[in-house]
Amino acid sequence: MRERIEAALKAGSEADDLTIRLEEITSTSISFQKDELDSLANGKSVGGSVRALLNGGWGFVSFQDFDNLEGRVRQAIEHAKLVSGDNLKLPEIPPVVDEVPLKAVRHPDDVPLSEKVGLLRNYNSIIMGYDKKIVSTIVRMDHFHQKSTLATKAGSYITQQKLKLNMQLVAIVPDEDGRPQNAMGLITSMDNYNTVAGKEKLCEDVARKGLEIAAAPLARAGTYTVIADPELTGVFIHEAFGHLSESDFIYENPGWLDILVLGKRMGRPILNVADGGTVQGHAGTIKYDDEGTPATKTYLIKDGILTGRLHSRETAVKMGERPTGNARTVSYAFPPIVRMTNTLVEPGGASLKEMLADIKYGIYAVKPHGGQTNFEQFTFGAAEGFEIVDGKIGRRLRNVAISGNLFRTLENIDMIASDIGWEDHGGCGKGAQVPLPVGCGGPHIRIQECIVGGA
Amino acid sequence: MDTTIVEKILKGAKGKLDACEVCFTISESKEANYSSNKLKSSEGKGSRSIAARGFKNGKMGFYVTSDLSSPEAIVAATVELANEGGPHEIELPADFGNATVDTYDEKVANLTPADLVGTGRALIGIVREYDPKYLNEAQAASIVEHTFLANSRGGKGQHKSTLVSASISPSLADESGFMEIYEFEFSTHMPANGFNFLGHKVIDKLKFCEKDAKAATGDYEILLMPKAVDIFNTLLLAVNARAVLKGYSPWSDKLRSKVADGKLEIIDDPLRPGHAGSQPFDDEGTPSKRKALIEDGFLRVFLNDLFSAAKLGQEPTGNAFRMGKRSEPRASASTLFITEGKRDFAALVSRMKKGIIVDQIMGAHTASPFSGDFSVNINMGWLVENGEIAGRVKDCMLAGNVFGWIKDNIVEIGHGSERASASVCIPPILFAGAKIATTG
Repeated sequence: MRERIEAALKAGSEADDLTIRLEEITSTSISFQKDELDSLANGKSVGGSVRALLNGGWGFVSFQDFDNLEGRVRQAIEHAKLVSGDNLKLPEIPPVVDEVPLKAVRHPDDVPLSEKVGLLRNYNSIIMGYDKKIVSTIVRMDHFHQKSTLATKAGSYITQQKLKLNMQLVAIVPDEDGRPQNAMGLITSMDNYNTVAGKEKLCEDVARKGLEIAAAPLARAGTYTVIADPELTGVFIHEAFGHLSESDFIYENPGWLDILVLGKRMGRPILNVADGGTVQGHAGTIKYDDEGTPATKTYLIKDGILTGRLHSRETAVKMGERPTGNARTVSYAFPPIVRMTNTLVEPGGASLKEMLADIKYGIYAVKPHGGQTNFEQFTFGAAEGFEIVDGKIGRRLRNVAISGNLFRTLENIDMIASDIGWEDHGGCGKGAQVPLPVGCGGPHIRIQECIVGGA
Repeated sequence: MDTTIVEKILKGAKGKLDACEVCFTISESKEANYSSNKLKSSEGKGSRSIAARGFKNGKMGFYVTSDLSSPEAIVAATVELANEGGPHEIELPADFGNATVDTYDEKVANLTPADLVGTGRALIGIVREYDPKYLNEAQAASIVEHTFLANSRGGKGQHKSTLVSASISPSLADESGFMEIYEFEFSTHMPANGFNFLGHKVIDKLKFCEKDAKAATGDYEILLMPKAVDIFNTLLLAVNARAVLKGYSPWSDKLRSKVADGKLEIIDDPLRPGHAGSQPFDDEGTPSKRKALIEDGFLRVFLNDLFSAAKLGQEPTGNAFRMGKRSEPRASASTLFITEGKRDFAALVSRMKKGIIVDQIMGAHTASPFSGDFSVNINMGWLVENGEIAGRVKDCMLAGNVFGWIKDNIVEIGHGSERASASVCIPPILFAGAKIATTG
């Protein structure tokens, strides 16, 4: 296969830049709902793509049969010819030949189907059996293994693998109006099936929370001091600032380039935000990005100052900065674009106790439940919410959703705790490319003046 | 379309499975992408997939693959999954009916990458001529798809479709903030006068944004525009027979009851030409038919597939669809339509005393998928005072409950349906009594 790929690359010599990607993805999905096994599915996706750059214009083709790679290269170049450009010269990355191994402690593909089904059946019975007020459940496991080979005209030949295993436990309980409410528990592993085994206690916790959430009052709309737990902090920074750091959004946008000048104050000196594929052990951990650039760790905000951004080779050269290893694609069906990897707020020096101390009335928001940004405002849901009254975490609230202006909110982070936690379960969406595995991490943080929607 | 592989799989499954269904899909797409007013890329994609459901001893497993090199491997994988699968007693249809619906336009099938480049360039040109200060994203794309479905009971059928789409999104970033308006359209057939209308539509909205306006925390009328329809995703769940079966539809016991204002009529129609959700039979082979979900405010029917229809003792509605070609067919909407009222956007605005036109929302997926409670950010909205659009509002959150809104808060269903998403095509709707939260 390698010879065929290299021959195809030679056929594309007129391109300024040329990449061939071949990939195989296998996946499994098992889901129990309420009283029975609802879905059992396996999938396999095999495909490839060619990405060509000619005179600053990009052409891209993707396909699922590998018979005529030279023909595909020619097609990609024909597409690129339609796109007249600006003589773009991408920065050269030293060619890399590497086969990155996958170190799985226990690979889910090695676990018999009956064992996986049995595990989920047991968890499902625990939740359904916990209390008769629990009317339904969703207990599911999804895992995929993605193996991709990237070959470039410049001589790189890199094989990488990604494994991700997600388990989701949901208890559904009607509230006093008969409307279904829900509580959720999530577990993710990038290398070990056993992480999802032995989680009977978590099932009971999810069931119990479902009952509590169904009985909890709605959050009242208003502006509050909010303390976000570590996982929510991770998703908050991803939405509130991570997307704005993706340079393909701003590199040809004079308005944004004027606003996001390196050296600008973004927040208080306690605020440090970074992103990198070299941060180990999380969903966005990679050795090379999908252009073959080695991953890095980039400080986006250091001591409150805008310090860096995330780049592909194109955005790097156009902004006079260095590639950061953030050009990623969801699969062979799409070209790489600038994406996050593992994004975090770095721990600070405060304690949760100190953060709570001077809050007369506020909200403690726990675990993310989706988030979105439009680059001026962000919004995210909290899976759980609690009142803070006179410095103490109080009763549970339902449906806490937080929104705000990105810039003002970053400035309003006034305390950062010394702990850390990560959210690796969710997949990031940008354009049509969803879900991309990313890690979102951080400590407890306190944010003044958040808008909380509610009844 | 060479369907030999399907026949080989069905043949190989005989004796190993009690029943088998195979769906073979081939699609080709092209797109031209513009960013910051410049053409960035031209792309072409080809894909194919085999999606097989295997049934054995009342259990079902599902296997999907793009690797067509070995029908035997596909049979083996499907058998393994069926042996472990969940209970799924259904009888696959032997006859997919005779309905036809026109979802294929030769003009779309013949679009070249250069044509798509031209469509995007024209849209950007229209906005730049209005005002060159905006930076525009734009896209034009076309898809051609062929589907062949066959099962071990002898049922078989084919359909083909084209899809053409265009979008334009001007934006502006400066110290006062950032704004972005997004307009799109897609349809199986080329629009009669092309896509330039999108450029003019977006300019109308840019004009509304020229001034800023301030909303205060409190109650407002809301004119919900079609693209803000994400709020109502919960309704799709509530009418879904699978959700009823699994106990998390809030309308499980509301069949034939009044669930909404009498003005609301929601139709699911897979036989309307021109719509991406239309096809002559659903993805299990049940013949397609039009049905009213909500009529005069009453819940008439749940959208089902063969499994949920059998379990609930209901007539199959022909709503088994794959969400993307890689998933198994399950109950969902084909295209939902809301029967229109009389007054269009301008007339509705003129009757609003204190309201907000909600054009785009953000964060709908953070809402509870089961209860109908939502709390979203108004991504693009305009304040209306005494019938006049005062300007763009920011930093506003809109909260409420979908089921409460459609029952108690509908003031008027508007006129002028628009594509809101892949499977929803609806007019603007005027609501009263929505809760807005904002700073200051």
